[in-house]
Amino acid sequence: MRRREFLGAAAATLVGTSEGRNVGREVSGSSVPPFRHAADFLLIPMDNRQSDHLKAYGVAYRALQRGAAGEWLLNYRAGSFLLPADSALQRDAALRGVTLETLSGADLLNVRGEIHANNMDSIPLEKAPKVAVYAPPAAAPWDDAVTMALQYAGIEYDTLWDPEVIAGRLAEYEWLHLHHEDFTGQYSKFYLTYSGTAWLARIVRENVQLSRTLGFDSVAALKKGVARYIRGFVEEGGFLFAMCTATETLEIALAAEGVDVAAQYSDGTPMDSQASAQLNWNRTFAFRDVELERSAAIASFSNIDGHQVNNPGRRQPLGAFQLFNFSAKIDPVPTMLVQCHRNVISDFYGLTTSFSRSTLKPGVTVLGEEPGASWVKYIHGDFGDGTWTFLGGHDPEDPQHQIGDPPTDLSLYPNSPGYRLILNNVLFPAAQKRELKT
Amino acid sequence: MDGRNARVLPAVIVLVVGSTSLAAQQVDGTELERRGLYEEALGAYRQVLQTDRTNVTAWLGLERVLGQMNRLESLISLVDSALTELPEDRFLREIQLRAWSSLERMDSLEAAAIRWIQVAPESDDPYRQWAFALARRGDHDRAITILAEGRAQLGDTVLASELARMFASTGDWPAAAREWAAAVTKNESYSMSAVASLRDAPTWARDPLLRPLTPPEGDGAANRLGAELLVTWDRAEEGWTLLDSSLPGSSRQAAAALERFIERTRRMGSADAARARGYALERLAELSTGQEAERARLEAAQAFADAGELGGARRMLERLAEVPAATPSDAGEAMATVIRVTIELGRIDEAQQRFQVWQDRMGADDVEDLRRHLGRAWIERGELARAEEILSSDTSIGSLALLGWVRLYLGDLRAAAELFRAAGPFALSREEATHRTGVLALIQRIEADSVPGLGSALLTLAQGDTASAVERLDDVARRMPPEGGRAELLTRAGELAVASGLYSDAEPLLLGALSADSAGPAAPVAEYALAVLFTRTERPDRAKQTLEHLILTYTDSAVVPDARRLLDQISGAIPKS
Repeated sequence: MRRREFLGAAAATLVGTSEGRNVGREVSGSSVPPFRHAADFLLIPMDNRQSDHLKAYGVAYRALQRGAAGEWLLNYRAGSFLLPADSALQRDAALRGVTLETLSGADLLNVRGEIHANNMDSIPLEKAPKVAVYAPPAAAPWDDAVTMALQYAGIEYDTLWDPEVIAGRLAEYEWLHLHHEDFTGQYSKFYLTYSGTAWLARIVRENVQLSRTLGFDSVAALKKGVARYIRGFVEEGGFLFAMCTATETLEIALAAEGVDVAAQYSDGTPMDSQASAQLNWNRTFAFRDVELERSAAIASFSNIDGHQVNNPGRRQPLGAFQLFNFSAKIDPVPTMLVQCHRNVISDFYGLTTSFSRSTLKPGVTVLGEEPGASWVKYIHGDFGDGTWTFLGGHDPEDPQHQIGDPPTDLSLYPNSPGYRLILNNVLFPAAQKRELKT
Repeated sequence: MDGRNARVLPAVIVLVVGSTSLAAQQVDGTELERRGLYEEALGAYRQVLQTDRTNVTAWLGLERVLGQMNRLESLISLVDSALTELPEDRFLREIQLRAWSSLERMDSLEAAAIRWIQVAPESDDPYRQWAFALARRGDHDRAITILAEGRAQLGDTVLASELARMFASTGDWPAAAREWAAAVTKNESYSMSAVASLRDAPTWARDPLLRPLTPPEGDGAANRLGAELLVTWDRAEEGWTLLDSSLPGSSRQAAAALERFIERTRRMGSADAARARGYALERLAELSTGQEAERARLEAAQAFADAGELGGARRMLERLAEVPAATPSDAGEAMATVIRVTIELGRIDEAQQRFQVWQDRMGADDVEDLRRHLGRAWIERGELARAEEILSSDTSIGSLALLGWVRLYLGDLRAAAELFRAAGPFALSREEATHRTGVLALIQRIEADSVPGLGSALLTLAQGDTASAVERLDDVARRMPPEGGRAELLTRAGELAVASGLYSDAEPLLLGALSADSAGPAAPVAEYALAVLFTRTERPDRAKQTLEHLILTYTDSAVVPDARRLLDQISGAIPKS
């Protein structure tokens, strides 16, 4: 479901609530159309009684894939899922160690009553979104939190890279993820620090060859082209989720149309000395009035990142960020994105760890922030017919992930609140339009 | 009081009053200085010096205060004035040199030093202080020239330690070593300073440095210095060889040299250092008598044992045993160490004999521990009767656990189970307790009280022959009732076969276990082992199928979390570990 349809659904929820529906009517009414007999339901609790929160998303996703229609019970037991009982679901949950609870008719009535009386809501889930991950064909020496979360949860995804994006294949997907990619074409500014390493030489070689093959003058030009396609994907109603440095560099690439923001080692010409002043932030999703980092030797791109992990003298220590408590009935979209069994989450570094408040555009929804700090962690917004969500940092369970570190074994973190935020984003596009009450 | 005493008394009173007043002024000066009242402190110190021109405290106070006030030049005039009265005063000359050096007036420094040499031509002090003043300014080469000049004037070994330090500062390690050799030959008490100065020589410089400290170039005290240096460089055995050949003839001096060497080896943790310490202590014991000698032998025994030098340890302890009355009470502790090492070397008979001779002189903890060590060693060797013999006189939970293993390997399952239960979950190491619990669970499923074949198979396994153990377990299992232990034994055999890479043996064993009892507690374990086998033999689909069956069928089994993890690895959900 594209965003336009979802807003309709949210409006329907709002109208229903304002009309003062009572619980009994809602249960038997058209707002929960697929279900008739409460005894047929299974609840996937997402509070502390859930033994594996991350795999729970996969169980719900696969149920949707099999054609089941479910509900996401926002703020009810930390964002539980309600699904029709069937043996495939029970088998799947048992195999993966996911806690399930059966609900009797009376139980379900109580659940509905509790949801109605509190800051909670029920959002129908209908279709498992088609997921794409923008990732290079050869593995980079760092892990990708979203890919790991998808694999651990057992959610299917396709991998796309520049040729597929340029060929327009983004339109085949509803959800796109970007992780540690550098859309300024500067190889994450590791070019000088890791000069001589085999992995960097391979990445440079492959990117240069690809940019030539696809008809671009430089890698920087190719990445700007890819960034435009990604903006088009969102504009047309796609859901974009980006983490780490993909957030910051995508924005810079979009703002830098016609401006040289890449260091000499990348495109053969030095960065425009007036680059910051020439950037056009009308083209971007989230940020504005950004000052670029002009030193090619510092692995930092701009003042968007509040933590500046690789910028000696400006590096900020890690704290914890707090998720915002939205009104589920009025703001179902941000509410979905912050469903978690923990309200405060330990922070984690990335090449882009956080987002400076001073660079946020008006209208950006802050989903998670470090209270009192000059940066926020988790943001969301609309663009055209689609939405984007940015989460700073690289790996929620490896706060200081280094190049060459082994990938995180998520079976050791089955209840990771940070990874839950990622998976909220995957199920968010599954939310179904609810029919308007007549 | 007679008339004579009456005349003396006023003079005494004046002196005492005068002294009190002087001390008070010094205290005042220091206190004023401490409070930062430099001008007032200056006045107080000057007042003291008016009364006593040689008052060291007041001169030092003046030097400090004038330095703080950047007025050191006025100190020079005061010192010059005092030197007209006391031209040979060493302390005033030193202050004068320091003041010129602080003022960076090197010409004046040199002139002052030359004047000092002229008034005290037999003294090495002017050269030393002049050189130190130059060295403090970083001019080591000029400092060496001055010291060499002093030596030329005063004699061959004069200023050796100062020259040695200067050479070490410039990195000329062989020259530094030559000078230290000269210094310690003249006075061996320099050896501590010499080691401290030379020990930091870089590795590449060490052998050239050693030449003046080893024969034929060096001898006596220089060799002993070389020996101590070698210890600090973790070459203690070489050091001992050098020391051994250069011990002085006098027992007292030899003992002093040995004690210095022993002390240095104590600071090194290597076996090499422990061995060298053992030899040095042995030699010290020979030079000593009575309790002192026995104490040295005891410590030597411990050092040899620490170094794994059992011959040396035994030699020392035998000497101690010759005079039990003189044996120090902690000799037993040293012998316990020796016995443990003897067991580790596999000489169990010898260890047991020694234990029997010494156990009365050992602490209760050592006796108990050694019994267990010996019992375990006999078990591992398969000499179960001897193990039982040594363990049976001990009722500790550790010995009960070991006796349980003895009965198990003899096939006496009932007695083994009782002993394991009596030992409880905390006897011996945590790892062994877990192993014991697993075996207890296995034998409890077996109906028969005595199965010698099983004991023999498990002993074979404990001795490290897994392939034979698998065969024997299979053989015993086939003779057991299907639900009375067969499934458990086949599962255990299958697990061992998988772990050892005996894959072709493993599959029929595990399938046999499942066929014998597909509902018993061994079934999920057998299925998990089968899944591991399928994974290792590149049959992921069968592994997945088996794991899914396990998880869905035996939901409460303790292996379900392992099964889920393996399933995740096979499906790529988590990295393979």
